[in-house]
Amino acid sequence: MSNLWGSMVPLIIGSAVVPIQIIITILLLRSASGKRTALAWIAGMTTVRLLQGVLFGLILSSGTSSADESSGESSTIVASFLLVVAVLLIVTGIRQLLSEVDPDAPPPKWLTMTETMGPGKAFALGAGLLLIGAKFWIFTLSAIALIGEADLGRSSSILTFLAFVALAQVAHLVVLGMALIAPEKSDAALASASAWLTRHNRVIMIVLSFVFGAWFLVKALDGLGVI
Amino acid sequence: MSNLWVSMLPLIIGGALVPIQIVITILLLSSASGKRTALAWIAGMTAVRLVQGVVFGSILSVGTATTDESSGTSSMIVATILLVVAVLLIVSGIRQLLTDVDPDAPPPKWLTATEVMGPAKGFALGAGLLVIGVKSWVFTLGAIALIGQADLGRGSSVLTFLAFVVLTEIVHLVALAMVLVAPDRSEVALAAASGWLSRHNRVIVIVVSFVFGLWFLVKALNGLGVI
Repeated sequence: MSNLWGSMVPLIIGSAVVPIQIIITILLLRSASGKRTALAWIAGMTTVRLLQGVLFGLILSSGTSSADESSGESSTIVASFLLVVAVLLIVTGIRQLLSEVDPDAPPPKWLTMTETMGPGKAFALGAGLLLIGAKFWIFTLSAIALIGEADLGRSSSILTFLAFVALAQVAHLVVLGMALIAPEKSDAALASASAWLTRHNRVIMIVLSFVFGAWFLVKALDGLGVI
Repeated sequence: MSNLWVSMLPLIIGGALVPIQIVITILLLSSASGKRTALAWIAGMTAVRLVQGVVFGSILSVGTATTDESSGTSSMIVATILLVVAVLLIVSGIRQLLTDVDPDAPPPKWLTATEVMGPAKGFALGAGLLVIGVKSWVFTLGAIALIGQADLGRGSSVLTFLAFVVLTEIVHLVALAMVLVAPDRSEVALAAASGWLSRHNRVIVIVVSFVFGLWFLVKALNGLGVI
């Protein structure tokens, strides 16, 4: 179980520490119908992750259960996923290093809409951003494959996946919690957090991409028996 | 063997039908040091694909050779990578549909540099575009996994991969050959082709993404025993 979480932590951090998404949460909290809109945005992201969980959980569980060599097949699936995650992260890091463009960043016109956005559009933005972000698909897919490999039984697997979803959104939930508990005191802190994230967005993404890319590469090569 | 080529064909077409790359070849051919620069640009793409072939060919062949259930393991690697290819293509199609932005498109400032580019920069552009293009990485990985699964022996596997690389670059090679064989007559045809591709870039990318995304999804689900 601890081994599972050891492998899941980089996926959780990679999903959770996306500066541009945290900035959107802060921007939405400061808009007209702030808290409801921010909650809807987080709900949009959560909905997509849960649907991915149901869909790919079913796919990968039938994949491994239909094979005789269930454990070996499952490890191979996980190692293959981690290899692709590693490639994806390292490519993202190189791309950011060379061109300053994050391929999974939201289109600029989506960002400018946050100021006037209501809950309905915020939900669509949250869902849409996860739908068009290749990295987030692969992170969630890999988490599902890791949980499948751990062979925890149905209910523990579901609980573990729900924990992954909650932890992947912990930064947004903390920001929302701050705005709910201490709206006035949190205002200045969130504004400076937003400014700091905007300034360091590129560096954070490059560091995360290379560190976790290398980490997943090692895990994948180990899983495939290469090292 | 024919089964292998049927599976490889969508990877070849997906890798070859990238309008923006074909437009770059045509732009380079009409630049100052045209033919040499275009050749260097194609060589840059080829070099990256060959390096990917050596690296991932070694990784995946070790991965399957170190397990007892080599054939089952190999099928699982292929099915998993095809599932990721399917997800990436469909996500890319949705992104283009919603935002007009291809996440694998080159940064605009790289494109404007083509007019004054020499062979060395042409080579770097070809290599750089493939290094930062997630889809092209995963297409090549998919082809390597398929060739590994076919268990052709070392010599035939290498030849099949080289054929994959050549076929993926066939459009660029044809454009280059047209300029070499009939420089005057090809000029009008290539300019028209470039204009047509620029106008229909978005539609081509969306169609290729959804059609091949669904094709790979079916292949992956079949390989995983889901359908």
